[in-house]
Amino acid sequence: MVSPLYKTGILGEPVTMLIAVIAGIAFGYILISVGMGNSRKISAVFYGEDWSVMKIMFSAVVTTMLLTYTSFYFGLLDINLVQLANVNLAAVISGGLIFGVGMAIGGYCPGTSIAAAVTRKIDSYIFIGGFFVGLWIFAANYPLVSRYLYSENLGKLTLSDIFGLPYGVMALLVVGVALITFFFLEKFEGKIYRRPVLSENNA
Amino acid sequence: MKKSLLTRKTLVIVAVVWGFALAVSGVINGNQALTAPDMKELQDTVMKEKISEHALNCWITNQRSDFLILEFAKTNQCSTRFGNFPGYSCVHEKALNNPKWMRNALQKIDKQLIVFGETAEQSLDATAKFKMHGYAVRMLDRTESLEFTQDPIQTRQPVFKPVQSSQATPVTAPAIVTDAPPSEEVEEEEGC
Repeated sequence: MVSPLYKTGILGEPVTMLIAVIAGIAFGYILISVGMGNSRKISAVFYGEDWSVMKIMFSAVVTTMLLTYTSFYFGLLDINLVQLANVNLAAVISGGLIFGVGMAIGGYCPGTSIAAAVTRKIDSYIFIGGFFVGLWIFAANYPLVSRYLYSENLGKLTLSDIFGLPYGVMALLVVGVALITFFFLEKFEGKIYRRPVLSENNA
Repeated sequence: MKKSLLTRKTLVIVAVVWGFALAVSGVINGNQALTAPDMKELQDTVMKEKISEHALNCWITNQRSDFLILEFAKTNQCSTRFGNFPGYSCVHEKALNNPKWMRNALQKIDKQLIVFGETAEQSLDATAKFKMHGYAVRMLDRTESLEFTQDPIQTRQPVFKPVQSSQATPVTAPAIVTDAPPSEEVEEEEGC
């Protein structure tokens, strides 16, 4: 049995949708459990105060990468069928900037805002409203912006393609980069800036 | 605190060891799985579904545009037989083992593929591989040898690049597929 199970036809659409819903709920639960439903904690990453977000995201990337390539080397996953988005440089750079600014201002990314909304955080409702407005503006201007956004299409690229290294070697390098990053994050966390703590009377 | 530190150290060691194991797999096998999939069953299906050269000639003569022809060449020359058909492409057989090519070329194909190589074995291997990836694919049975009854009309742009012209050209590195038009219903038409 080779995955992706949906693409190889082993799982039908209803079962795939059900799995997606269950995985989504589990993902949301984990996000809240690790504090990613708190906008102050998320925005703290931009001040160098608390780098939990980066650590969580990098850990998730490394874990997924190790499992993906292990499955591939053991013949359990057809890597050619794994969905990859095209690398559109203009879209990635401008999208990243807008996303980063939105995240720094609002303290959420789309996923964490939904998770926070479940815990009845009022700021997350406003954030969700904001990204729907953003979506509408993008959709309304799509013919205009798409010409610019999709002008630098590099195709479906992986780090392995770029560096010309086998997947396994690239995986080891990414593990190394992650560990070095973790080391420096730990070293400088909270030492660059620390927000003043409000007393109970001031809050 | 001590327990937390121990857990962290354990996770770091696990990640590094795991990474090294993957790196060794990568050095030994490149970007190929260590365990090759069993293709026997797929090859049997391919043999049952193969299309004759005569039938394919008829499709081209009838100007059908709901299929693509893909030739895999081992040496540096492609055959010239289907060079005039707009949906014909010639790709080096190494492309079959190139995940980047497979990823970029295959995801947008929504037409039936007719695949063949230089030898019957190569045709079978290539077709079975496409079948494994879930594509509507048939192997061209080249035991017959029929010429075109007329020149096919070039109405569409080729799907694979590099595409061979009507003259034999050297096989170059495989490249990215462009958008394919929407598929049409494929009729099982063996005769003209």
